[in-house]
Amino acid sequence: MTHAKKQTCLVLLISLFSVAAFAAPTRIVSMNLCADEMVLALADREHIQSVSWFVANPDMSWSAEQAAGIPVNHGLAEEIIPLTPDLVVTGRFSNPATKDVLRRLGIPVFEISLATDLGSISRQIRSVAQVLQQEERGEGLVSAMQERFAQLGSGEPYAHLSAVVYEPNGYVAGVGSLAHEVIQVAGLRNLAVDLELVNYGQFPLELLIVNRPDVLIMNRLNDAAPSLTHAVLDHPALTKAFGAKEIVSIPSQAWACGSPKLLDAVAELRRAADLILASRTGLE
Amino acid sequence: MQAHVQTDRSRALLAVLIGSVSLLFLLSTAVGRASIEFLDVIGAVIRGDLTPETLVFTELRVPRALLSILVGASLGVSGAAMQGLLRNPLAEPGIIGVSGCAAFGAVIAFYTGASVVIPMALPLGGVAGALLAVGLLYVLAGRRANTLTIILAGVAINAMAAALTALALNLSPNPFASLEIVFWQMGSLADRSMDHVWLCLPLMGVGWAMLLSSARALEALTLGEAAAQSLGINLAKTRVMVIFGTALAVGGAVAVSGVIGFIGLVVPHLLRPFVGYNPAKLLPVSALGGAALLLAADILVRILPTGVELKLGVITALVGAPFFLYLVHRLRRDLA
Repeated sequence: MTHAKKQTCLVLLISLFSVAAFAAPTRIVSMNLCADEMVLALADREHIQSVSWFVANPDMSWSAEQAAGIPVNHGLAEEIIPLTPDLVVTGRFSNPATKDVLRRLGIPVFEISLATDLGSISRQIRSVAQVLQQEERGEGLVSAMQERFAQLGSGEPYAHLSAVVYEPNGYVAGVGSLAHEVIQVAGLRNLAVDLELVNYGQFPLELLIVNRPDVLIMNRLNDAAPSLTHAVLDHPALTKAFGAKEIVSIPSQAWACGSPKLLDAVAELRRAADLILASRTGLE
Repeated sequence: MQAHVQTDRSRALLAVLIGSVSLLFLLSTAVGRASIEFLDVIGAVIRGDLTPETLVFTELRVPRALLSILVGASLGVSGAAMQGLLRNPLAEPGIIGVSGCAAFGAVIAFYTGASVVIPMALPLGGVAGALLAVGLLYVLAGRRANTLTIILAGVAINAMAAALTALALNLSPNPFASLEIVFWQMGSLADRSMDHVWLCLPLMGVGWAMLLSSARALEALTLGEAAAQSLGINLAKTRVMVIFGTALAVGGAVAVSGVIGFIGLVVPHLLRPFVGYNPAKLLPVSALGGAALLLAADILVRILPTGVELKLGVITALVGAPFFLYLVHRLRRDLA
């Protein structure tokens, strides 16, 4: 191919992509778990070319079943470019080099923002819906979420209960994290706030036991391959300090991404809190 | 007269070491991130109260202090025994690759899930790894190896063990596994429990018994192999006792704490003058010295103001590596 021909081809390709950007995207590729969840919820299945390999793993994603059958990618530009997408949805922390390559080839790349509370989740849903040109579906999701939130009712009865999300390696979810939002929406008090931990801070086991929260939220992957990190969650000190009712197992998929499924975690937490309140009043 | 002075000195040393270990044990249980009134919690434990403070004390601090003693003693006594058997001042479970291979064995046992089914698989994996290292050492260095050959063989075994450990951890389906290599290669006693104490104690106990039983033989060996044999020492049996004893003690230790280097090197060297260079007396004294050193290191990592707790291997390496360099310098004429 001569140099001139190559240039013409490139210009044509780019203009095709640009034109395509104004119509609804029909060849959507998603590179990142949270992007996958949004795309799977909002776009037509036949328009989704590829999702990231995380979403196919049921240990990491709640949309695994929904994603079954869709080809997966590993976030590499050389996997994505041959798919000739007209929209690539990605996250803020996706590989910047990859995003750069895609943009230079004229492929529209949309970055979803970080969600930290229910408000930003709604905004994120609406902005992705707008890019996918599925505004109706987006509004549907948002109103369903708001309705669910209203149905949850007041968090008043739980106000005096404290909770802590204890993640592997001793990280505790503080202000600014979605896990914190789950505790807030449920109406409980996040112990990490009392201890002034912002976002994620490291918390030794000793302090967790001495500053005993009423509810300990952990994610014990019982079927997973072992690691020392997960073995600590079964430490005799924890199992002796907290009764079975006081430990709630909520998979970290619940707050890995901002999605309406966050409210499932809230419901789970409320259930556990109800049991604790019931057992306490039973003693009086 | 000389003999009397020696016995008195040894007795005094033993008393000092036992006293130090006891004091450091108490100090270790008093140190930690949670602010706990030491005397109050001792009282509560004796009364049988169950409070968050007593839980922290009995389930977190006491196991940690006990493991410091058990692991430190194992590393100290096996270092002394190896130096006696190989008649080599640089022999030490870490340097010659026994600890590294023990870590590999423990990693295989743990990350394949074998130790979930059979808890004892963890220390047994460590022991198997340790035995593999000793076997390889004999294959590479031969029976009458000089210092240089042994050290080189140790370097090779350590390199291989570290690579295989890293590979095993990276192949694990659990996403946290590959990050845990730092624990296995630098050692830590954080968040260990009484379960770990019971897991390693039986094998370590047998190992110590085997090592201590070879005391007289090691003493005779200082006169040379021929002289020792003429004194009625069974060299083959001594070798087996020291090798298996070391594998059991170090394998059990590394399985619960990861690789903590240099204790087996530093402690025997420091204490040898105080026991009149007698390898037999050096064994129990090195055990106590190792326990004291590891207790001190473990206290230090908890009171240092670093954000994340330092690994124990960092402290022992900071002390041991310069000491190692000093030894190499002092012995350079004898090493080639």
